[in-house]
Order: sequence, then C-alpha cells, then structure tokens
Amino acid sequence: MIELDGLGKRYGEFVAVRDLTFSVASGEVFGFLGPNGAGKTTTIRMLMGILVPSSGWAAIDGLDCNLARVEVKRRVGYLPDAPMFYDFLRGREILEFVGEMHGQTRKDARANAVRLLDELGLADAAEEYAVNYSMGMKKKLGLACALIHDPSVLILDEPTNGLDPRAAHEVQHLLLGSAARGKTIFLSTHLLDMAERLCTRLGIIHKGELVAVGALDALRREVVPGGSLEEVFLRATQAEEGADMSGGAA
Amino acid sequence: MPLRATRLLIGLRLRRALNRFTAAFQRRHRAAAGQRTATPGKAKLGWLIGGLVALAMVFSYTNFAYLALVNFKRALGFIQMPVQAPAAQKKITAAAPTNPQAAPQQGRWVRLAPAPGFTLSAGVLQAAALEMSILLAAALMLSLAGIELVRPEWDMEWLATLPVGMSMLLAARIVERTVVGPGLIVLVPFLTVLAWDAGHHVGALPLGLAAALPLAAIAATVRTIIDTGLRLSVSPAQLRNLNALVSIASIVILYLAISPGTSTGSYVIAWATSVPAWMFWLPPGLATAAVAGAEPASAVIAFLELAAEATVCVVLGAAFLRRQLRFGVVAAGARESSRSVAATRSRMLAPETGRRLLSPIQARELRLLARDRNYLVQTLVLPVVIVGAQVLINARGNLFGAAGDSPEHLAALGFGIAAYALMLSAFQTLNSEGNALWILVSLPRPLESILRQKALLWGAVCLVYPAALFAFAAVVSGGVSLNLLGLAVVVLLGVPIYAVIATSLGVFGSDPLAQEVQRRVRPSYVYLYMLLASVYVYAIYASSIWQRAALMVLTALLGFALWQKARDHLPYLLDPSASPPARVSLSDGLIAALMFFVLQALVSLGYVLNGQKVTGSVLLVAFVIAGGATFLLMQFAFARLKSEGVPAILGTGNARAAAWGIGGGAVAALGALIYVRLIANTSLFENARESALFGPQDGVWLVALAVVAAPIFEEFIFRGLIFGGLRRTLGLAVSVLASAAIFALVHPPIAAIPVFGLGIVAALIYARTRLLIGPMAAHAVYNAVVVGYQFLSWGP
Repeated sequence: MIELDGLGKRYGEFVAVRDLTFSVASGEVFGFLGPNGAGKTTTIRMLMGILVPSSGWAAIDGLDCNLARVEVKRRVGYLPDAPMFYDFLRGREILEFVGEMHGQTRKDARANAVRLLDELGLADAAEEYAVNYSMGMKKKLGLACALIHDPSVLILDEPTNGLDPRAAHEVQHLLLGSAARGKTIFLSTHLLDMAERLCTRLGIIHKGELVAVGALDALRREVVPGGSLEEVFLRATQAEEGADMSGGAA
Repeated sequence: MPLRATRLLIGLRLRRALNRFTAAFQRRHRAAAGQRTATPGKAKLGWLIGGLVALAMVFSYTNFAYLALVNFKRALGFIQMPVQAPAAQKKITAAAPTNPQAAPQQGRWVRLAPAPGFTLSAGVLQAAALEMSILLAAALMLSLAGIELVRPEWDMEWLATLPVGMSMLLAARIVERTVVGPGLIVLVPFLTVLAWDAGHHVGALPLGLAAALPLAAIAATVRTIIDTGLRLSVSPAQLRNLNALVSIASIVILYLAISPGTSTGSYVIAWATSVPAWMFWLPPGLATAAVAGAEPASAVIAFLELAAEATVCVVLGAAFLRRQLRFGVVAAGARESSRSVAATRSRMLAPETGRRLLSPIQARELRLLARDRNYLVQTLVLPVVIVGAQVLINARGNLFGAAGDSPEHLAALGFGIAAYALMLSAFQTLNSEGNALWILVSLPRPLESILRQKALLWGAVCLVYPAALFAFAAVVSGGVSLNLLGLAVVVLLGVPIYAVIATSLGVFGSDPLAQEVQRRVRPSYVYLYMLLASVYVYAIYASSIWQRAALMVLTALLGFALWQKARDHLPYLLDPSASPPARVSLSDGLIAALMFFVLQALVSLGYVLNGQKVTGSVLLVAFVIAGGATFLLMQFAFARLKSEGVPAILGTGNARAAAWGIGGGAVAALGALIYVRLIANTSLFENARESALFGPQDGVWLVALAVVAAPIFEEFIFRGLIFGGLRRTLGLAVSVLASAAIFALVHPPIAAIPVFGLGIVAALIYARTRLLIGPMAAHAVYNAVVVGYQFLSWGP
C-alpha cells in the first residue's frame, strides 16, 4: 500500500533522510519510531507531497506521492504533528470545509462533521473557535479532518502527542477500530508503549537512516533477545550514536 | 537593581524592534551547509539597509515638519493690510501688535510682528501648538494601532513572573514605551524644526529631543493605561475589532498632521486662529513654547512646567495602573464565539436551500472577512481610507467636482484603490492561510485551483471600488460619455488582470510559514507589483485606442506568464530546498520579445547619434543584431538552466513542415494582397503610406531582412516561446489568437490586420509540425510576396 524506495531528502549539505526503502502492506498499522530530529516528519511530509524527494520515490496505492499528489490525497488522511487552524472559524466549520473540499455535498459534510465531533468527544466545543482549543483538542480536530473523507490510508504524525491519558486511550481505540476495518495506518511516534500496543510492524529511524524494521517480535529476537521494545529502541539508536562519537573522537 | 531591570527591559525591547526592523529587509538564507539552523542567518547588509530606511524616514518627517512651518508662516504670519488703514489692522491683531517698521510687501501684505519673547507671530504659534497636539494624538494612536495589542499573548503576563516589583515593572514599561514606541519619531522633527527656526541652530536637535521626551512619556503612560484596561476587560475578538478602528483613526490623524506640510488649505491652518490661550498651558503648548522661545529664561520656565506636568501625568498614571492590576495580571477570557451548541444544532437540522454560488474556499474567505474586522479593515477599508484621506485633506474634496472635466483622474483613482486593495488581499492569498496551510496541502485539489478561486473572488470584490466611482461619475455628469465608457472598460478589465498578477507575485513574495509576521512578505515583490500597477495607469492616460489595447494585451499576457511561473512553483512551495525544473514558459517569450525590441531601438539610436539617417540598411543591421543577440542569449540561458521544452527549429519531417509552411504562407500572403487592394481604395492609412521608411533604393537589404532575418528571429520568439508558452496551459484556439494578437501589436498599425492573419497561420503550422522550420517558411513566403508586390507597385 505504501512503498518507499531509496527515498532521501537533503537540505543543502545536511542530509535529513537517507535512502529509506521499505513498504507497508494494506491493513497494517506501521509504527515509525525515532528520537527527536531523526527525520520522521520529513519522511511523512514527503509522503504527503509537501516536500520533494532529493532521491528515490515514495508511492501510495501505486501512485507516486510527488507526481500524483492530488490523487494520493484522495486516498490519504493526514494529521500533522502540530495542527494549526484558521482564526475566527469554529471547529465544526473547519471540519465541514475540509469535507466539502474533498467533494462531499454540504449536507454530507455537515453530517460527517457532527458525527466525527461526537465520536471524538468534541461535540461541546464544536461551536468554539478552533484557535481557542487546547493542544489535545486541536489534535483531535486534526484527526477528524483526516478521517472525514473515510480514506483508506491514514498518515499520522505523533497522533497522541499532547493528549491526556483518557484522550490518548480514546484515540488509540479509534485507530484500532480503523485498522480493524482494513485501513492502512502509518504513524510516527516516540511513545514506545503506544507503538507496542497499536502497531503490527515497526521501523526505527535514526539520523535519517532506517536502522531496524520488522514485526515487534522479530525485532526483539534480532536486536535484544528477550528485551523490551525500549531496549530495542535504545540499542538501535545508540549503536549509531556510539559509532559517530568514536568517529568524531578519532 | 531597579535601574538594571529597566535597562534590561528597554534593551530587550530595543533589540526586538531592531530585529523586526532589519528582518524585513534581509534576504532569507537557505539552511547553511552541513547543519540545520533554527533561525535564518543575519545578512550584514540588513544594518545598512535598515539604517538607510531610518534615515529616509527621519528626512521625510523633518521635511514635512519644515514645510508645515513654512506654510504656517505663509498663511498666518502675514496680514493683508487695507491701504492706509492701520487702525483696522491693530484691531485684528490685538494679541500681536504690528511692528511699525515692518515693510509692507508688495504694497498690501504685511509680515506680522513676533509675539513677545518669540520669533514667530501669535497666529503661527497657535498653529504650531495645534500641530503639536495633533502629533501627540497621532503618536498615541499609532502606538495603539500597533500589532502588539492584538497578539493573543500578553507580555505583561510573562513579565509579571519575573522577580521585579510591580511598580518597577510599570515604570520600566512606561520608560521603554517612551523610548521605543513611535512617539519620538513623530514628535521630534517638528519640535526640532521649531527650535531651529527660533535660532537654536546647534542646539535644535537636543532641544527638540528634550521637549519631545516628556510628551512621549505622557503618550506612553496613556497608551499603557488604555491597553492594560482593554486587556483586562475586553475579549480578544473585540480587541482586534477595536484595533482595526484605531488603525483607521490613526491614519486619518496622521494625514491631518501631515497636511499643513502639503498645502496652505489644510484644516490645521483653518482651525489655528480659534486655538484658545489655555492650550499653551497644556503639554503640547508648553513644548511648543519651550522650543520656540527666543528668551532663555521663559523657555527654561516652559521646559520646567512641561517636565512637571509630564511627571504628574506619569505618577498618576502609574498609580492608576497599579489599581488596574490590583487583582493580578490576567487577560480577559479567550476569543469567544458566542453561540450556544443547542442553537446551532437546531439550525443544522434546517434543510439546506439554494444552490451555492461560491466555492467552499470563497465562502470561507467571505466568512472570515465578516467575522474578523481587522482582516476586513486591512484588506478592503484601508485602501479607501488612505487614498480618501489624501484626497479629502489635501484637495479638500474637490475631486468629485473635477470628475466631469477629467474622468481620467477618476479612473486612475478607482484603479489605484483597487490595485492597492489587491496588494493587501490577493497578494496575501497564501499568507492569510498562514500556519493552517497544511489543511489545503492535504486536500485532493491542486493548490492552483484554490488560488484561482481566491484570485477570482478578490478580483470581483475589488471591482466594486472603480465600479462605484464610475457610477458616481455617471450620476454627477448626468450621462455616460464615450470617453468615460472607454476608461471604464480599461479599468474594469485591468482589475481582474491585476488580481491574477497580485496572486501570482504573492506566491513568490510570501512565506506563509514564517514565524514573524513581518517576514511573511518579501518587499521586493511588493515593489514589483506596485511598479507593474503604475505601468497600467499609462493605459488610462494613453491617448489612442491602439496604445491602450497594446498595453492591455501586454499586461494580460504578463499576468498569464506570471501565473504560469507561480503554478510551476506551487508544488515546491513548502519545500525549503527544492525548486521546480526549468521549463520554457510564456515569461521567457515576453522577456525575449522585450529584449528584441529594446536592442533594436538601441542599435538604431546608435546610428542616429552618429548622425546617420535611419535607412533600410540601418534597420536591417539593427534587426539582425537584436534578433541574433536575443536568439543566442535565450538559447544560452536555456542550455545553462537545462530547460525543458526548448522549441526545435529542425527535426524529423523537415520537408513536410516546410511544405506546410510554404502553403500556409501563400494563403496568408493572398489575404494580405486582398487587404492591400482594399485599403488602397480608402484614405484610412494615407499618412502611414506616405511616411514609409523604405524606398526602392533599399531593395536588396529589404529582401534580406524580410525573407531571411525576420522569419528566423520572430518565429523563434512569437511562435517558439510565446505560442509554445501559452499552449502549455491554454487551449489551442486561445493560444493561437493571443500569440497572433501580440505579434500584430508589435507591427505598425497599417500592417496589423494581415500580420494577425499570418500569426494565426504560423501558429497553426507550428502546432501541427512542432518544428519552427514550418512557420519560418510561411513567414518567409509571406514577406517575399508582400515585399515583391510593393516593388512592383513602386515600379522601377
């Protein structure tokens, strides 16, 4: 469903992402893990056609993310890491706008907006200006924007970041439900317990390079036999660090 | 410790003001090699440019102040004396007894004597005191109109967490606002000019500064009281709306303050005579007296009184502020959207009626305009206020009277307001999305279509201004003249074209993700837009229909070319490092055409300067040099940039293309011969035929020019680049017609119609064969036939 082949992005001399090659099958929940600044958001932005790859390509449903960006977005719901909204617009109005822009009639967009706001527990805040929302509410509204056109693929940048424990739990529940209905989910996170609970496969990115990819059990077996995901993560991201540091010292 | 806190706070403010100021003039730097940079590096040039701009500002304010004083003296410093009636004169100027030695100027005008202790007469002093009061009001309003008031965060909330006492904090705030705000910039120049005029030449600036500081401190205190009070009691939404009103009022007051510098008919001068004496006991009057005083003793007393009054103001103000903040520094609630959920629920159940005229994007934009007064004011009201205030204050409203006599001015005014509004609306299309741009980017719609809808909306909205003005003119003059109708067409077509230009330039000239609002617009693109808009004003004042049409077609093509460039750029909009691959586009064609004609003119000019006559051979040389240079430069540029879609001259199927060309050329030439026959029987182009530059003596040269050089160069530009560029994004018919139109426009009017036909034929052949050899052959055949026919008709 999602394919990356040699995908890379550089800003001048700085290499943000280097030679990413992996794929996510239809119906998978793929967790993209990595420390801050590892290149998770850059990768997701390339999947969304916001950034142009410096090398390689990425495709969703067989469509090139850069060349067929409009078609790709018909199939994808996207949640950025820090969703910002227009001032002076109510949450419901923003959601309706997004629905209409996806080609829904005004009536359908309104019905979908009301349903999603209810599902996400935003019904009480539906008539407030979205700039006044708390971080967690903004994240939920962003999620509603991603879900309103019932996409087959969800690309979520840190979906539970900034949510309180109950809200985080609800969002996870919602994502599990979406996955059960056959949606493909690509989510980036650095919350390991959530990754452990939600994801069927994981990829770990460090300093722009993919350092491990596979099902959780397989990763545990290969990287730290019998260890937790935390140990796997620390080992995978530390090896590089150590190598770099020794390189720097020499 | 208290001093240190004040110094730190002021330092922070100054640093911030400086950063903002220089940021607007810096080029953005792409991330430096090898590392990520959170903030863009500083350009060394920023300081220089910032300094130059500051210098220019100081200069223009001082210049206005000087001119204002000159006008005060001219209008109020003299009196028209009835011949041999000194008694009457004494009565009028009781406050300022006339100097008996004053020599009557031109018999009837007498310079009034200075008021006691001053070098200026009483009337001029009254005007100066009034001007100072207006400037003080302007300084206060300008500071309140600033963006600081509408920021959702209130920095007092943060400053109150620092380990500094509240009194200290308030004092520091007032001092800081005295020094950093707009107060000193607005107040110092006029006071300095007054001091200079009173004879304090070296001391003029220090004196002006010394008198301005207490006034600025009063303005800062009042401002702090007002903005604290508003923060505490008014919701942010209302605050934004209030701020919008204040910004309008501040512009009107500023214009009022500037007006005596531009005309002696200013309201300030008219009101000056009724300024009461107690005005000189208020701070602005005291400041005026202090700097304009010629006697040191009374000047010092005025200074002391001014300082005392300012101190009282600041101390009382600070006490009031302490009272305001006695319940803590907490801003009034969040931006409310006063509407209950239940009400909306019931509203939502109501069936949706009516078809939608507007796309979702346009509907959203209008909804924002309706809710956000600041947005409304900044886009649609500001242009009217700025232009209107200029007109009303300087021309005292006689513009509309003149509308009947000179509708060109009215048309220019209408277009000017619309173009200004477009700069604030269509140009900002991407910026107004700001950080919410991700929503548009995640939608299955090309950004181009969204921009197109917005350009359409703004074009339509901004048409309202000129349309209203024309309707007004039609009512006032009691009918619609042909001239007015022509102007209306020029302006009403121009506004949509400039909506497109503004939107396209906005794509390059804006950075919607920049954190600092000032950084979101790149000034060079704003200037480019203003330059282009002023070019169009020529179309309004142009004398012939031909010139108007030419300018309009060229502007429309330019708008289209810019749109094409912007469209190529859009997919790379949010990518800081990638840029679109080079492709031959319409803008290349327009650049080439421009270069071609400018070079021709320059080479011909060289001959003329050498004292030579412009003969056929000179024209040929100019044509070949210009064409050759353009051709080579464009090819070089395309090769360097590795551009895609460079038009090919030769390729597979040369013979077939040439055959098409010869056939098509013959058809076009036949049309031209019929046209020549027809116009030979009319007197329409009599003069043009007489003034033909060519004679039989130029024979060989003319043939070489017409049959070899012209086809090669012109076909490369007009078919290869312009038609090819148009065809990239437009349908065949429109591209053929538009490229033929511009091709005809650059020829002399007499030849325009047959050349238009040739343009159509050549474009069709190029569209079919994809090789320039085809249209080149057509052009050569056409020119050979037409020139040959002329030879025959001239005879041996």
